[in-house]
This record gives sequence, C-alpha cells and structure tokens, in this order.
Amino acid sequence: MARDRAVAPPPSPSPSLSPAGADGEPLPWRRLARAELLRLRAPRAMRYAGIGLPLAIIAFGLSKLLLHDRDTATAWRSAEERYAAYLADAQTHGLPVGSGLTARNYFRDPRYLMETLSFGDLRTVDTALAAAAVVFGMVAGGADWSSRVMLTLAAAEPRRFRLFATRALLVAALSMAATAAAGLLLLPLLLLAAFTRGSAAGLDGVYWAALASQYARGVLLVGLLCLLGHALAMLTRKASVALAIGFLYLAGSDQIFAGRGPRGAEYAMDGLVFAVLNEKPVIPLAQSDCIAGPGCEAVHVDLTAADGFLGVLIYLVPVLLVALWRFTRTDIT
Amino acid sequence: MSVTGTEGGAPEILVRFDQVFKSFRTSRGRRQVALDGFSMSVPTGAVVGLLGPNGSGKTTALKALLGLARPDRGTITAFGRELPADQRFVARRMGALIEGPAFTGSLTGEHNLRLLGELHGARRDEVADVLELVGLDGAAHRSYSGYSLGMKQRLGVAAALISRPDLLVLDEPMNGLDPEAVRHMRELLKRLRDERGMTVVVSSHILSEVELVSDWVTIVRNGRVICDASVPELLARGTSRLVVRVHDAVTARSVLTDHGYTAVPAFGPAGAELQVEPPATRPTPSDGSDVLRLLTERDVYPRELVVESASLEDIYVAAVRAADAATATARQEPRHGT
Ligand SMILES: Nc1ncnc2c1ncn2[C@@H]1O[C@H](COP(=O)(O)OP(=O)(O)OP(=O)(O)O)[C@@H](O)[C@H]1O
Ligand SMILES: [Mg+2]
Repeated sequence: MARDRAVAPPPSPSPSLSPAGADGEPLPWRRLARAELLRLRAPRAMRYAGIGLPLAIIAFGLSKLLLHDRDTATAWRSAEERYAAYLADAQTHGLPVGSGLTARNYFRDPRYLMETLSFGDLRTVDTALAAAAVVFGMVAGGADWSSRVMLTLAAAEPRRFRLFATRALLVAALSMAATAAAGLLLLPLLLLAAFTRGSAAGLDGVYWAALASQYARGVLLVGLLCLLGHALAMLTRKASVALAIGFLYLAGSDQIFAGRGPRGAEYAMDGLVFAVLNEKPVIPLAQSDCIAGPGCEAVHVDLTAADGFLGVLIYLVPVLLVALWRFTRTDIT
Repeated sequence: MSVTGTEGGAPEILVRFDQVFKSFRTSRGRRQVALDGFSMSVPTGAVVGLLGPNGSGKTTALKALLGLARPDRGTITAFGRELPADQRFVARRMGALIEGPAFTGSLTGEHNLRLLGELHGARRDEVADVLELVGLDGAAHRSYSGYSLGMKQRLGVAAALISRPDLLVLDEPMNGLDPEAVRHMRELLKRLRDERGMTVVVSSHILSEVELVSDWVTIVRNGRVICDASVPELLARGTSRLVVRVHDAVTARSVLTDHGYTAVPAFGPAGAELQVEPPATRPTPSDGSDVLRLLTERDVYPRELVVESASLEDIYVAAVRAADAATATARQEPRHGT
C-alpha cells in the first residue's frame, strides 16, 4: 500500500476527494458483478476453501492408489481359500452346495477398474460438494445480512431484482466452477490409479459420453443446490436460521419420506441427488449393487436423472420465488 | 411553525419530503407509525441537522430517502427526481451511513472500503485518500473486528464518502467518538460542504455539535417535523432568558409581574436575582431594554442585567414540549365535542 502511494500522483498535504464520480448513469452491471464477485471471494474461509478443496480431491484420488492393487493372483488365492472354507463348512454341517457357485463369487478384484469404479468415485465427490454447496450458499447469502452490508449494497443498487439475481448467479456459478474444477482434477488421478493399479480397459466412446454426462449433471446439481441454500438465507436473512432449516429437513426427511413406499424417494433430497448423479440416466435394479437407503429406493423406482432434477426444482423454485419476492417487495431494515 | 426557505431568495432545495407516511408492522402484528406526515426540505449545499427523540423517525426518513424503506404515502424528491421511481439515478449521488457502520468483521478496514469502492469505480489511491480524510490511515490494515467504536464509525463515514457523493446522509455519525474525533468530524463536514459543495444531512443527539456544524435544523417528533429552520433564524426565534440582579427584588418582581412578565426569584452565583421572561404576547424577543425601562421608571436600579441567548438545546426542548402540548390538546378536543 505504501508503495502504491509512492507511485501515485504527489500526495496533497491534505487529501481531498476527486470531483463527483456520479455521472448520472445507473450502476453498470459489470461493475456490480465484479464487486460482488470480489466480495464473495474476500472472506478468509474462501481462501482456505480454495486451498482445502484441491487438497481433499488430491487426497481422495491418491487414496485409490493405496487401496488398489494389480496383484490379482493373491486375490484369487484368497478367493479360492474362502471358497474351499465354504465347501468344508457345508460338508461338516451337511448342507447342500449352491449350484453354480464357484471361487469367482468370492473374488474381490483389487484392481482399479476405471470403466466401472470411476462413476462411483465421481459421484462421491459430487455428493460431498453438493452438501458443501448448500452450506456455502447459505453462508454467502446470510453473511451480508448479519453484517448489515446488505443495506449499503441495496442503497448503492436500488434495482433489487438485479442485485438479487447477480448475487444468486455468482454464488451458483462459483460453486459450479469449483465442482467442474474438482472433476477435472479428479479425472487424471483416477486414470493414474487405473494405469498403475488396475486397468483402463473399456474406455470407449460410450464410457466417455456417460462420464461426461455424469460430470455435467454433477456441476448443474451443485449449482442448483447452492442456489437453494442461498435462496433460503436470502429469505430468512440469517445464515443460522437457514442452516437450522437445512438440519431440520435432514433430521425430518427420513420420518416424512421413509416407509411411504419407494416413490417417497422421488421427494427426498438424498434420493434425488443419487438419481441425478447416477452413472446411467436410468439404472436398472439388476445391475445395481445397492442394498438399502433412499438412493436405492430411487433405483427401485427407476428414477431418472431428469426426474431427479425435476425433484430438486420442486424444492428450489418456490423458495427462490418467495426469497425474490421478499427481497424486492419489502423493506431492507 | 415550519419554515422553509428564508425571506428574500429562497434557497435551492435538493431533497424534499412531502407528507410522507410510513408504518411498520411489528412482530406482534401491530402497526407502528414511524413517519406521520413527515415534510422537510434540504437546501442545496447546506449541512442539515436532523434532531429528534429516540424513535421519532429520523432513521426511517433517511432509509426512505435511500430507498431501503418504501413510504406508504407521500412523495420524496431528490435532485429533482421523484423517489423511488428514479432511485437508481439518485443512488449514485448519495453516500450514506445508516444506523451505525456495517462491515465484514474478518476483513481489514481498507479491504472493506476497497470492496465498496469497487462498486463505485474508486481507485486504490482514492480509497487511501478517504481513509486519510477520516483519520483512519494508521489503522487501515487492521481487522475491522478489532476496531474501536469510534474507528468503526469513521470507517462508516469513509464508506459514505467513497462514492464521491453530492449528498451525504449520516445517521448519528458522532456516536462513540471522543471529543477530539467529534471536532475532527465537525471540521470534515464543514470542509466537505465548503470545498466539495456537498450537501450533508446529519442526524444526531449531540445538540451542541449540531448547533456548531449545521446551517439548517429539522426537529422531528413522533414522525412529524415540528421545526424546520435555518440555525441563525432558530436561535433568533428562541426566547432569550433575562437575569436581573437587584437589591430590592421584591419591588422589582411586583413591577415586572404587573406588566405581565414572569419573574422567578433565584439565588445565583452573584447573590439574589430574578429570572425574567417577557409576556407571551410580546412579538419579538426581549433585549432587556424594556425591563430596564420599567424598573428605572419605578426607581428600581438593577446592579446587573444579563441577556442569556437560547441554545439549540433550549429551542429543541421548547419545541418538543410545545409539540407535546399541542398533541395533548388535539387529543382532548374531540372528547369535548362528544
Ligand atoms: N423495521 C422496523 N420494524 C418495526 N418498527 C420499526 C422498524 N424500524 C423502525 N421502527 C419503528 O419506527 C419508529 C421510528 O424509528 P426510527 O428508527 O426511525 O427512530 P429514530 O428517530 O432513528 O430513533 P433513534 O434516535 O433511537 O435512532 C420507532 O417507533 C421504531 O420502533
Ligand atoms: Mg435512528
């Protein structure tokens, strides 16, 4: 700063303001967007997130190297041992041996098979980011209310719709950009795991198309959920209240949706998220390895990614509209 | 009571509130009237002091001007434009500090100001200049949450200035300032008016400060303006108090009361004295000559006669009391009717 001064025009003995800058033009949108983006990125927590997120992704990707192995021989040996133990067990207890059961059923492939495993890993990352994005949206929306900076912003830009939309777009765009970057960072790490600890076989056009689709759906989902958190905070004007509503929903949704048949999954957020992030737009039950949980219920009813998005919008649109109404139509005090 | 403009060459008006009504709904669902036919004018290039008891509607009026609270009825014009229709035109010409400073605690003062400056296209050196102007250059790079109340207040004023406004709206900027900082603020406001031609609206409870800094004073009570006048005019209008020190206080008192004066005996620092008020029917404030004439005609010679001119505080208290009395009579009248 001191250096800035040194290169600035000679400092007047008593600083004075330059002539009025207000040219009568309303606040240009580009300037509003730039200022809001800088404000959004300013908190220290954002800088920590900027470092923490890539580190977490790298750690997750590298863990694949540790958890996987090319050594199938050992895995086969242990599969055969377990199969033998099963046969011995059946014999001592006089139980019938399952027909068609072989050592293959006991084989757990230690290799990182990109073709099948990458979808689940991308889903894991996107699911975590979606949860984080909700919180980020809430905090980004609520912070300027609790600090009352919102009064200053609303006085500077009286076009409230523009202010609301700009903030909402930036918050969503930032979370989407983070998700997109996270996916791009994850992919080479998974490929590394596949090449060194498994196999990259079967990575054909169909595979890449499916992965790209899942990637795009993840980015969009994170943006929408971030927007939901943000809208909730703009509506309640307090991040803490928005967070409380989020937690109450999580605690209550099981009570509300569970036990009401698989179609309940269509309305429970975790089922919707699972449906959106599935590797295939529709995942047939026969190919699913899931056992329980709302995500599984989503599979049971053949919930498609489009259904998932529709469900998310059913949550988002009303909250967003009411938040917009409150922001543009009521006093900011 | 309301006086707008002075006789001969009315000042140009920058902001005008005309019969503005605003009520809030409280959490219990009741309506709380904040502005009740609020009318006031802000002359261009003046420092206008907005005075009034707690809850009288000062902040609400300023929020209405900034477009943060929408009036239920009435019109507000600023820079010749009607609000809120032309709010975006006016917004770029106003800088405001409303109900205390509002900043992000984890950022430094300078960073906070830079973020706001970004909105208004202020350069880095302009940010530094404004910080120096409010006397915060030494603490610019400290975290805002570590600021003292007075430092926060100064940063709030800096934020109002960063848009290089023509109209500066400051809601209680003197809150929490030490005497030296108050003086600094006072000089700053005068400089902004004189050097930049800024119009300043400043609400405050520190009447002596408002008296020193303002050209124009508006007193609000229960959401209504009860007094709106230039400071010299107001001070001239205020009833000055006469103190007469005389040996024969008994005779002096009877002489004065015979002529409709009130004379209250008191024991001042210089011995027995009479505090004299002229009759309410007298059109102009007394300069003491009338009292002197009455007393000497009856061979009573005062040792001393002092004319104590009214301060803004006296005028403020008198105006608020008069407004309360008027409200009380207005309330009683309908009851007499039925
Ligand atoms: N957001 C609000 N909700 C409900 N009532 C409000 C709101 N804002 C102001 N009021 C009410 O409006 C009236 C005027 O309040 P305002 O803040 O304008 O007073 P003030 O003159 O600024 O007071 P102070 O000197 O204490 O700052 C008060 O009765 C207050 O309770
Ligand atoms: Mg106030």
